[in-house]
Amino acid sequence: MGLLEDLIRNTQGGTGGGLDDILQQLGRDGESSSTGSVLDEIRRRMGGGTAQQPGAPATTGNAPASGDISVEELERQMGIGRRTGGTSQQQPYPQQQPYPQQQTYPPQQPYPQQPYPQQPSQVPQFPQQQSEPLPQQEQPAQQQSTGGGLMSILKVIGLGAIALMIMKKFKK
Amino acid sequence: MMEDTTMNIQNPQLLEQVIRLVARTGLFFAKADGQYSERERVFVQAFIDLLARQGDAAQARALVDDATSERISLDSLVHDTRQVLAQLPPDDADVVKLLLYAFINDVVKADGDTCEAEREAQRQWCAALANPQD
Repeated sequence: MGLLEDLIRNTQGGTGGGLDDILQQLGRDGESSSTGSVLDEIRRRMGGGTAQQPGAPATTGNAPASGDISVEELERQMGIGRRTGGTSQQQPYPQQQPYPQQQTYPPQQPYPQQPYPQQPSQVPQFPQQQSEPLPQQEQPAQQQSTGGGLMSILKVIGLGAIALMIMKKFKK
Repeated sequence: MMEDTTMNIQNPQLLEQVIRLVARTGLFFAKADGQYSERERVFVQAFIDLLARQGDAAQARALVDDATSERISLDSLVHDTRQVLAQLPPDDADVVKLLLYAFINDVVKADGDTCEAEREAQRQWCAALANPQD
């Protein structure tokens, strides 16, 4: 397992110390070449992206120039929203191939019906319990929740990554 | 703040900080080789354009222009990054930290040639972020 795979494993596990250790390790050893696959993995686990088609080019900024995907495709894969009525013209996405038709199964045989034994209709009554209000517990101070904020933050970083791709395409 | 619900966040100030952080991080590492070329200007402009498509264009421009107009040092970058991370729950902070690392990695590799100054800046960023209490 690569260094960055460890990184994401620790991220998922929420063990901050492990991530910090690996980050420090990264600082010593220089960058890993597998960053791209980790980003794919993050997208997959966060449900923000689409599954990679077999044989499709890599979907990160580290992809070789020949296999570069378009900015629009990257935006689509990262689920980045668009505003209607913008100035830039949107290219339509390529139409997806229809999935092969599913095979139909033969109709199932009906199960032989058996009568259930009759249940007594009387249900014993339990004495009603006196409900007492629970003592209010003091809530511990919680760390500020960002709610849907994480996705917004990830989108901003994603936009930065796309801006970087545009920069890469810019000829010197 | 950004109008579009896709950019909605409970703490708009935090999102502004993140936008500033990404702009400054990208520019700092793109310039780490000592050259501020046309390509770096393309990065900033593209980032503004992409943000503008999500909401208020004028505000996006003002935010990024303001963030990138002042001198950016590694210390200030680390400080800004820690400020953002400190406002997030630990698990979220880890994800953001990881993505920022991946983003920086892409920036330093963007021109196809990684120089020693870029590698050193990246090493220092990693070391600093690995020790949040410094």
